[in-house]
Parts: sequence; structure tokens; C-alpha cells
Amino acid sequence: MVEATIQQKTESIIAIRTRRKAIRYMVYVGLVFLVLWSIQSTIIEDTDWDRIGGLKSISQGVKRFVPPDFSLFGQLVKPTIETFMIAALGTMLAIVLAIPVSWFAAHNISPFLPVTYPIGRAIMTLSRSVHEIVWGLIFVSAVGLGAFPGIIAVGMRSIGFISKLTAEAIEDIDPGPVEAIKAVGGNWFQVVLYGIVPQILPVFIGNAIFQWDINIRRATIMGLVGAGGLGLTFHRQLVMYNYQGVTTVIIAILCLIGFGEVCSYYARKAII
Amino acid sequence: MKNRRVTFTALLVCLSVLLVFSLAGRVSAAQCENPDVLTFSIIPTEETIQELTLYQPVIKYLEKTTGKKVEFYMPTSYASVVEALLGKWVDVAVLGPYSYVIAHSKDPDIVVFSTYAKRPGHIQEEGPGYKSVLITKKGTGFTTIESLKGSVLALTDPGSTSGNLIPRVVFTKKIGMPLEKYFKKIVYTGEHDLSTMAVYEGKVDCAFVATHRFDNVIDRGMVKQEDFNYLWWSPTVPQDPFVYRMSLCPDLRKKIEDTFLTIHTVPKAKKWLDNVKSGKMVPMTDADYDIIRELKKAKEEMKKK
Repeated sequence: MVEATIQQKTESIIAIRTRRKAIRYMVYVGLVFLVLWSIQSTIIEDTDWDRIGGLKSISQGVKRFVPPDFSLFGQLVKPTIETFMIAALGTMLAIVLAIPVSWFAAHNISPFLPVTYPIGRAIMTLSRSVHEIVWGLIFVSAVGLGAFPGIIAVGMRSIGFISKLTAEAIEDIDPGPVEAIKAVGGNWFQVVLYGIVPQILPVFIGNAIFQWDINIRRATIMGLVGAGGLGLTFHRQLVMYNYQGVTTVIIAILCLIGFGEVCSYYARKAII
Repeated sequence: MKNRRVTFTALLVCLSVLLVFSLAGRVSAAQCENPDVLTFSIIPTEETIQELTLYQPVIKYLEKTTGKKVEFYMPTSYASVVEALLGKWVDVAVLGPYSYVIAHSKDPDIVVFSTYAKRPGHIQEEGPGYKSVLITKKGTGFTTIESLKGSVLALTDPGSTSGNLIPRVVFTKKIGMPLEKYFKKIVYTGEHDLSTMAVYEGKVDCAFVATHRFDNVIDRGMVKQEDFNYLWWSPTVPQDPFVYRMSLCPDLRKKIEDTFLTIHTVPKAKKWLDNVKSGKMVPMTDADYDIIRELKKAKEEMKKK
């Protein structure tokens, strides 16, 4: 009797496992097919195989970009600083604006849940789903050309990321301190200031630094709205077919990003 | 109770800030505009080289003739200049022919007043315009339009006038079918010089390029004029339009026009004109760009089909 049930159990477990295995392998096969189909449709059918060049033509393509045109170096200092500033100011703007958005979008402290929670979530999604170029164009018609629309565009694009992670951090806080402050008669403001802020501050600052790092890359394309910076220099070299100058600008961008990496590493170490 | 009140106050503050911002929109004046600062904007293209120093004499001259301070912006996209014109942040600008037609249809306030007259080049004729030309490499046997059936064609990019629009609208009338049907394959190279080099290196069989852009490739010594066959020439397309906003005061507009039409008398600005291979600037009217409108209309009809 007992043996029978055990046997039944083991059999059923084995059956479930084999079924699961089968499903898993089917998913694998499906994935492999999907990848193969992508390769077929995008690479094999789209490439003119009769004319494809060998290593020689690739090296010819690369040759146009080397050696870097170092005569540009004097011209690059100002644009590099411009780009850096756009990134820094855009991130600061985003940090300030992300505070109310994350307050609205955190489920546990949203001021008036049915209204403010959707609003916060909507701003978050909108900010992240609209490309910075589109933000740039929107703000050009609102505030004119120059670095200003570039800064706002970078800021708008960053709000979503910072506020999303902050709101999630708020939702995941340890409720202990909050309850303790409430128990001794703290009002809502004190609860937020002493119960929530200290818990999320490291996360918030860490995200802000990471976002600033990303924004250095974003600021390079803000030449589009007349913000100048490395984006404009890059574009000018490109339309002049000065490919060696393009390489120089790319090196400058690399240096700037490297500098940002170093800064954010030490800043993170200092804070967290 | 207290929580509610704090929340309510905070919300009220947020809302009032929003309200103030929405009310702070600029009030449009009923009379003409006479700003103290003129905003002049131009996009770096292959012609309008990158040296900012090149524009200094032009800007100085514009400041002298209008008696106003000139702010100069150089964005990298037509879209942002058009947006800035529509938002009345830019007063004088240089657009591309196609982006001008779009801008004018969005707001008739944006009007062309001048463009530069090209000097004759290798295959470029003299005057305020250029042509789109179909090129093949000499010695490939592609010497007639018929022989190109089933070959590989290079266009520039979907937004290009001479490198996409003219081939699709004007040239298709000649062959009586869409390009996709006539050619085996169509690739977008992104630039006129890349199209030229692609034909020269045999990566494609033929390409449509703009006459003045093609001349630039010859000038750089990358190819020679006799390396190619020229199978088809389009009607003339006007050059990059210099535009201003009609809402500026008439006398100020007159001053702006005169500035550019007499720019060839300024010795220091000669370099700037040389750079666009031009000897002087000529007046243009909106009607000169009707050919672009035709192209645009035809293109939209093609899309509907």
C-alpha cells in the first residue's frame, strides 16, 4: 500500500520532470531557429556576396581613419568641457526633478494613490521611452537653440531612470524605522526625512552617478540642437570627410568617458 | 489629518508652478518684430565648411548693416533649425531646399530671400542651382539607361533631393516604372561622395549624385571626370535657401537682404563665398522652389500607392 503510493509518487514526479525537460528543449530549439532565421534574413539575404571585399578593402576602409589628425587638439578643449558641462547640468536637473516623480510613483508613500501613482509612473515611462534627440527638438521649439535645450533634453531623458530605481528602492525599504517614528508621534514629513531618506540615499546617489556617466555619452550628440560640444566637432569633421579628424574626436570622447568612469568610481567609493 | 494637509499643500505648490510656467509663454506682438539681437543659424554641410572663422566676416557685416547684435548658432540638424524658426527663436537661417519647403508649409512666415550662385565647376553649370546626374563607371559597359536594367543602384539617403527624390520622381517618368522594379537592388550610401566612390570601386553599378557634390570628389583628387559615363541629367534644382521670418519689420528684412546680396563686396567674406564655389549671392523667391514642391507631392503620392 505504502510502497504503491511511493512508486506512484516517484512515477508522477519523473513524468513531470520529463515533461518539463521536453518543454525546455523545445524552447531551446525554438531559440536556435529564431537566431538562424535572423541571420538568414538580415545578413545572408541582405549582403551582396559577389561584391564583398576581402581583408584588403576592410583595411582600406580603416586606413582612411588613421593616423588621428592631432592638429585638431587645440580646438577640442572647449567642446570637451562643453559636453562635460551639459552632462553634469542635465544630470543635476534630473536629480531635482526625479525626487517628486519617485515620491509619486512609490506605491507605499504616493500621496493620493489613485491619481498620483499613475501620474508618477506615466512621467517615468514617458521620460525613458522618448529618445533624447526628440526631447532636444521639443525643447528647441520651446527655448531656442544652444546648450540650454540640450541640458533640458538630457535631464528629461534621465528622470525616468533615476526615479524608477528610487521609487523601487522606496517600495523595498525596511518598514521598522518608519513604524518607530510613527509610534513616537512623528508626522508624515518626519517619517519621510528620518525613516525613508536615509535608507534610499545610497541607492539614489549611486544611480545619479551612473546616470551622469551615461549622460556624458548622451551629451555628445547634443550638437544637434546647437549645443556645440563634441557632437558638433564630430559632425563637422564628418561632413568635411576629414576621417582622421573624426578619429581625433572619437579619442576625445573616449578620454572624456574614461574621465567620467574614474570620477564615478571614486565618488561611488566615497559615498557607498 | 496632518499628513493630508502636507500632501495637499505640496500638490498645490506643484500645480501652481505648472500654471505659472504655462502662463509665462511669450505674448505675440501685433506689430512687426524688431529684435535687438538677430539670431542667425546654419548647418555644417559639405559646402559650408567647418571653420567658424569663415563666418566671422559675414556675421560682422550683418551686424554693421542691421545695427544689431548677431547671435550665431551651428546645430547639426535641419530639424532643430526648423523647430527654432517655428518657435521664433531664429530670425535668419540657411536651410536645405527640401527642409525649406517643409518649413514653409508648416508656417508661411518662413520665406526664402536669397541663395548663392554657383561658379561653373567640372560638371556643374553656373547659376543658383544644381542637377542630379546618373553616373556609371567607364569601361563597365553601362553606357545607356536601358543597359542598367537589373543592375545595382546607389541612392544617397531618403531625405536627399538629388540623391533620392529626383531619381524616384523625375527619372521614373523616363523609364516608366518604379526604381525597385527596374533595378535589381537599391542601396543607400548616406553621402554623395560615398555613392561616387561606390561606383568608382565597382561596389555598385550606377548612382545618382548632385553635380556640385560630384565636383567636390574630383577636386579632392579621388576620381577624374573622364572616369565616368553621364547617362541622364535632371532639371535644375535651386540651392540652399537663405530664409528669414516675414514677421520681422520690412526695413529690417530689407537690410538683411541687402547684406547678403552685397556680401561679395566685402573682401574678408570672399573666402566664405569661395568656399561654396560662388562669386556672389542672388535674390530668390518662394516660387523658385516650386520644383521641390512638385517633387515632394509626387513623392507623397508614390507613398500612397
